[in-house]
Amino acid sequence: MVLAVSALAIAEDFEANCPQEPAEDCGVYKPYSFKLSVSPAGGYDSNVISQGDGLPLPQGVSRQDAGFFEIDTAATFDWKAAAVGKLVPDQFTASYEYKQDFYEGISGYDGGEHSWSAQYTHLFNEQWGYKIEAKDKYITFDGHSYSNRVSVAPTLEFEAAQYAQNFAKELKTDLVFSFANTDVFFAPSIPARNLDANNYGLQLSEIFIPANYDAAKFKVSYIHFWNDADGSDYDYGRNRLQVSAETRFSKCTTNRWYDLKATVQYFHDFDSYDHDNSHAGATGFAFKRQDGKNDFLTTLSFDVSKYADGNSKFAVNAQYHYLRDNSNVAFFNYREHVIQAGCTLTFDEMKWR
Amino acid sequence: MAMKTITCNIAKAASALCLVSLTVSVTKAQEDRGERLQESISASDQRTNFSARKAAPSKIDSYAFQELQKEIKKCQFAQQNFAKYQEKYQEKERKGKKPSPRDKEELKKAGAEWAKARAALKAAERKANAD
Repeated sequence: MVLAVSALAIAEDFEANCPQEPAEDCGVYKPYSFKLSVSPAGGYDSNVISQGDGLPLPQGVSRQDAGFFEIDTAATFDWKAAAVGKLVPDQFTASYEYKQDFYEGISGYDGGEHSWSAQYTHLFNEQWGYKIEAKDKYITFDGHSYSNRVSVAPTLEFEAAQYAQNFAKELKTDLVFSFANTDVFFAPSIPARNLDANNYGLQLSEIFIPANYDAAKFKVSYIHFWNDADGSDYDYGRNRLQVSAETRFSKCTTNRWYDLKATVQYFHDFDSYDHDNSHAGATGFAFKRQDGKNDFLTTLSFDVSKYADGNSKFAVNAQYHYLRDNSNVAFFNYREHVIQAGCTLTFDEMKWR
Repeated sequence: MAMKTITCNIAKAASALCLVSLTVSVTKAQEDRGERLQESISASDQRTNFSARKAAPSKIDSYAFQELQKEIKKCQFAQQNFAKYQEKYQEKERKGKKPSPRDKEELKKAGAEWAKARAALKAAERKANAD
């Protein structure tokens, strides 16, 4: 009887353009999950060494462009508190990521990146919440230690969608303060070029999901950085304007177009340096460095295979990245194109359901 | 003699200049690497790490996750409602009474509501878990 009634109801609710797949029950969720992902990729980088336009190649380097192979792996543990009403108030996420690049024909630039991060999120109610993220990023080149960066970033969030229900499903404001300390292990050639620094950031972002198409998301951000370095070359202030958009190509989760996701991101940096730069002019220290940076990134990802709960199992990815640093110092005046394609295999056997 | 002295001084100056140029050149070759590597790290930071994105869990402060919580509540309510009408229907059957057409209609309606809630829950779950 129960089955007969359910089947009838399902048949009635099927929409021709979006077939439903009812859950077996109303969900008994475990509070934790553990996911692993592996992403091999291949690509081409037009300027691996960030070579300034028109400048001769540095000693020991025969070219500035190269094909590359990249392997990226990530493991994430996640815990969520039990729901209180319709709200899950607490979440803790810890993750580790390792990314390694291998460039063809250029030695000394094979970067390795180890990242550890921990993030705690607390929601006071449906409007207000905060996040605290701590991160450590350790970089190697050709296996040699290059730098370590420790950062912490508290965020205050305000969700205003309930006041804008006629046009937004999400209208969130994020205010982020960040502090980072970078320690570079390579000895600088002169004290002015010492890259060790404290970096302070303040970011204001607005995130918008339209009411009539919740498969798309838009974000606009303004960020200000202060970089306080040990070397005078790297004391600067940066104003960044950033816009990004992402979309799936269907609202219906059972439609294959839903599995195709595109993102675009653009930002412009206005960098203003505090002191005369050691690379400026024929003998150095002739004037202050000023940069205007344009950065464009677009990605396309398709989930070929997914778990029943919507997590990706196997996906193919592609991305294109363009960077143009317009600097008044020739050494830093460069452009770079990176194109890459690959796949991602995700293991999500320890489900939180 | 004076000419010889001038020539000698020019030669000394040229040698000194060469030495300075060489020193600057070597210095540049050394410093280039550290600074270039820093630039390449900054550039790389902007690229998308697909592994990190795919391994990321659903976030409690996201719209999709909060919709999922609402759908769970709706589903649980619909399930309880269906169980209530089912119990009423079966109670009559156990007592040998014939359930009325209204009982059947209520049970059918509650079953339909529950199935609809489960379908909405599944769609919300998929959205919450999509990266």
